[in-house]
Amino acid sequence: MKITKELIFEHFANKITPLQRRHIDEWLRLKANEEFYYKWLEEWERNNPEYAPESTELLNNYLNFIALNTSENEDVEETRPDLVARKWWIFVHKRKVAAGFLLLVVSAVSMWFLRTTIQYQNYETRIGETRSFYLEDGSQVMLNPKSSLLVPRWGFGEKNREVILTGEAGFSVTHLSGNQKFIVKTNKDFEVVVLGTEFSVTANDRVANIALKNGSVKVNYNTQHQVKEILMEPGELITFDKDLIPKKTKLIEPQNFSIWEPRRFVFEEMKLSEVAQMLEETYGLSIEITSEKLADRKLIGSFRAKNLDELLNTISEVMHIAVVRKNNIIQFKEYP
Amino acid sequence: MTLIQLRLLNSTLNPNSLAFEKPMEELVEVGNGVNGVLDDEILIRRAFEESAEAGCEYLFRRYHRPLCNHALRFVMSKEKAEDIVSDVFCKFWKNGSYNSVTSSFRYYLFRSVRNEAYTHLRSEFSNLVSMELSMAQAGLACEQPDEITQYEETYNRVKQLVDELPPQCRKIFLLSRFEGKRYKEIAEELGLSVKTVETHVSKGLSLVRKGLSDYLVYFLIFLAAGNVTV
Repeated sequence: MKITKELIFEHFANKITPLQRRHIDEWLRLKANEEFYYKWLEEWERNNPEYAPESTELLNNYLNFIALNTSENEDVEETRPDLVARKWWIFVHKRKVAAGFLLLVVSAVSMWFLRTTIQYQNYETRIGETRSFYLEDGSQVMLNPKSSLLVPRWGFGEKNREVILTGEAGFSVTHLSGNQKFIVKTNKDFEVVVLGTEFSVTANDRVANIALKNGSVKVNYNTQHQVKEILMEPGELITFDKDLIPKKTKLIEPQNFSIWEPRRFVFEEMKLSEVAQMLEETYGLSIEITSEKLADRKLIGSFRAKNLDELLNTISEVMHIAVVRKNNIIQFKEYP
Repeated sequence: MTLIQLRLLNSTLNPNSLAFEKPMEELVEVGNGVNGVLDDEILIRRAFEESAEAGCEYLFRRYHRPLCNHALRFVMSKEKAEDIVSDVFCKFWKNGSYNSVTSSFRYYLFRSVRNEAYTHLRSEFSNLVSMELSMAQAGLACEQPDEITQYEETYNRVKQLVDELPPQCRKIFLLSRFEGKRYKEIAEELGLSVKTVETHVSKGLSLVRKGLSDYLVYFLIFLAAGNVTV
């Protein structure tokens, strides 16, 4: 008797005879078969779900558990302010007072000319690079490729916390006891004011989207020298077109927001040609696919990558194709 | 500290796909891919190469949903099912089990969840019976079914018992146990008194418990007999 996936599915659904079951038991004596059994069990559970657990929330709990049960914390050292200060002190000391004085004069002059540079610390990423760091209020920032974020160098002060973003970034904003707002300014005539909430924003040259999960968010934008604002309700999505005219729609499954993470790529039955187009737009690459047949092959799933190379390697591995990269020119081709 | 999240997301993807993200966490090729048999845990192992945390997170994202659904079939309570799955994941991290897994992660996780769910079921539903049984149980405390398919038999038995409850009793029992609703909520929803809801739930529980403990007793004796003859 041949054990097939269909038979095992029927077994899960309690639709087989005792004799069939004995055959399955027999078949399961082999560990390799047991692997198939669980593979099919997973598939069957995915196809016949009883309910959708609050996985995102539970994952957060799990990650907290992991953090609490880990002895060392590795990347704290990198940006400790007291270390930076100490270096500075040694520098002044070595060159004695005269050098120190000259430095003061130079600083004073450049301070006048470079007010922005001095007032703000600039975090920048190159093409294909992502970067994660903490702000002094404990908020976490994840900067996506080809972006920059200006953060007040001397702290946010008592008032609102304002940062200036070019490109794309994610923020995990800490709520402060004084209820200071967190404002993300952009160079596109709109800004996002966090009033205590969870939401996501998509912004590029052509479109800008803001999706709200819960709490409330205010979006300020300029049209014809007039500042307007929109308040969003949970589950809403606002899309700005090229002329900055907003359109509101309702999200069907706002609870499916994923939590914070490096950079996620979602492929919903995406042809390789479409993947290539996405990569071209995201990373400013030029991509060539050697055959039409290859261009039509499809990918499904979602994947998180820290950088471009990781993503390319994965595509190469999953599709079993060669990916040749020469600077900004990439070629997808079948193995000979 | 309250965490608020604000994300400026990947710009070039279809904005809808961000909102409708599937829980699936693996990239696979669909249709006629070149390689017929696919090792679908490549990405999980790669995440583990990077760090154990990343690996565990990946595993959680990928398997949490089907595991909860599976545990649910045994324990008939969403909350309990989620507890069981979380426990398995926490132990997996704490004991560093990922270092010693020789099978696929899927195999390991599904087996663990099934064991836990089964053990829970037994402790919850067969603890009302006689001394005699409790002694038998003590001796077989760590005993798990010999045959893998007995797990399916068990959860199907649970399903059958619940299905056989009188309609009103079944409905209330499920609202209370499966959905985890309070008696008061159910009473308001169905326009009944809290007392009536209470009666139905305890009736349902005792019927399922009885049916299941008979089954588990039979099962234990069967196991004991099996052990003697082997």
